[in-house]
Amino acid sequence: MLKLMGSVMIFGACAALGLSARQGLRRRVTAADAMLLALHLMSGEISGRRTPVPEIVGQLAESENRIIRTVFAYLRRRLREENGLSLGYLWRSSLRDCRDQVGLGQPECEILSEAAAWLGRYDAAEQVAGLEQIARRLAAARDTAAGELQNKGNLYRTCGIALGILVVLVLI
Amino acid sequence: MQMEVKQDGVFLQAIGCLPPPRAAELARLDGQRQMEEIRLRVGRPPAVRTADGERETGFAPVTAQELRETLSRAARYSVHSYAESLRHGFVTIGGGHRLGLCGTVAEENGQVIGVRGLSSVNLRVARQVTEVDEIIRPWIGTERPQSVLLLSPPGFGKTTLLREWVRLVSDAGHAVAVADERGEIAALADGAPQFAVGRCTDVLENCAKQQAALMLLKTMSPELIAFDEITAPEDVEAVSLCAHCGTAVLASAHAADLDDLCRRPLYRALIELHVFERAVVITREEGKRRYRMEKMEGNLC
Repeated sequence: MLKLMGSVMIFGACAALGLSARQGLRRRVTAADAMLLALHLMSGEISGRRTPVPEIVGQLAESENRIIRTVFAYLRRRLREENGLSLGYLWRSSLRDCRDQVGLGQPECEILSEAAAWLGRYDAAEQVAGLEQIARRLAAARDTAAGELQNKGNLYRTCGIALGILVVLVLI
Repeated sequence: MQMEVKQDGVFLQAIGCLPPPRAAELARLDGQRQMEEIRLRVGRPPAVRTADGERETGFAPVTAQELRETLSRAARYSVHSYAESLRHGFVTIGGGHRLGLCGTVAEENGQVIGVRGLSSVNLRVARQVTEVDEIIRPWIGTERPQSVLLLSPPGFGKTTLLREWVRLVSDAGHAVAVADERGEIAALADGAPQFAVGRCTDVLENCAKQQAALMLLKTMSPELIAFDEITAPEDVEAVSLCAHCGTAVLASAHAADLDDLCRRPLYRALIELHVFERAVVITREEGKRRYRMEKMEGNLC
């Protein structure tokens, strides 16, 4: 009985390892999609209504999308702290702090962080052009992540399950 | 023993746009209710201006970085939202306070596009002053609103007087529309005015006066329309537009008195419209403001 339970646990652990690696890739694609949507909304608000950045952040913090809500609610909280830190610093640190929680990949996080250099500092047209450039690069990173999910996702899952079976067979 | 400083909410709201350490420093100053302006000049300690004049504080000199941060905070990290006012060298912050900017101007095709390399800023504290009510109430009366021009040099309280005039006319039941181009008269926040501007007042903010006049006349049917600071030919056009639609106009202009007004071609054009029936001249004597009503009849200039 103990042997059976041990085998099930080992198999489960190995399979979970493979599945979580696949899930990580899936979350990375979903997070990139969400941030692309956020960038699109920001561009619209800046070009169409000249909305101040804190108000845009406030609107996105109320978003239906969980990932957008998490990142921007965190940024909104930091902005309200009135700690004298620049918007650029708060933008970068919010992305860094929320990265693991929302599943954003390191390359995507770095691309988004670059927006800190000019966000809120220039006229609407220049900011929109910058956001569009960031969006293009993020979309490319997202496609790379999606490709990885397609190519390696199933591999990770299968390897995990296979490893579990192998370990159980070896131990038995 | 250290005396406790009596803090003033309006003053604290105005200095909220300064970097937190500087704001905390200024919040310790005494006599906050009397302060009209805070002047920050690179390399000099901050100075405060009251009706008695300007005096420097004993705090550390202001740095260029501090002014940059002040502008970022005042513009809410959103230059795109304040691009138009930055072209005119100021930013209006929450509460109707105005941050005036000086430094090196950036130009494009002969047009000012902003101020970079800030050298000094002037934070003007906006206050609701209801003490003038007793003086101006008899001038306003209870009949149909009349067209009035408010005159004074800068910093004498034209906007404050205009705001109180609007409030009294509005509370008397007349429909009043305010073309608040700089957001200093009503200081809207989430759609609600932060100053009392009366129960029958509609406010259109951040819109050029001529455009605002057209929009307000078409949509709000005002009996009185108020403009702050007539400074350009387009503003005179806006006044003309309202006057010829049967709406009374309340406006302000930079001039010491009617003679001074006549000396400037722009204002001569304004007078020649024969829109204004009266002018209120604000003067300052021994640190106190005085208000004088003058009739504008016949050929003044």
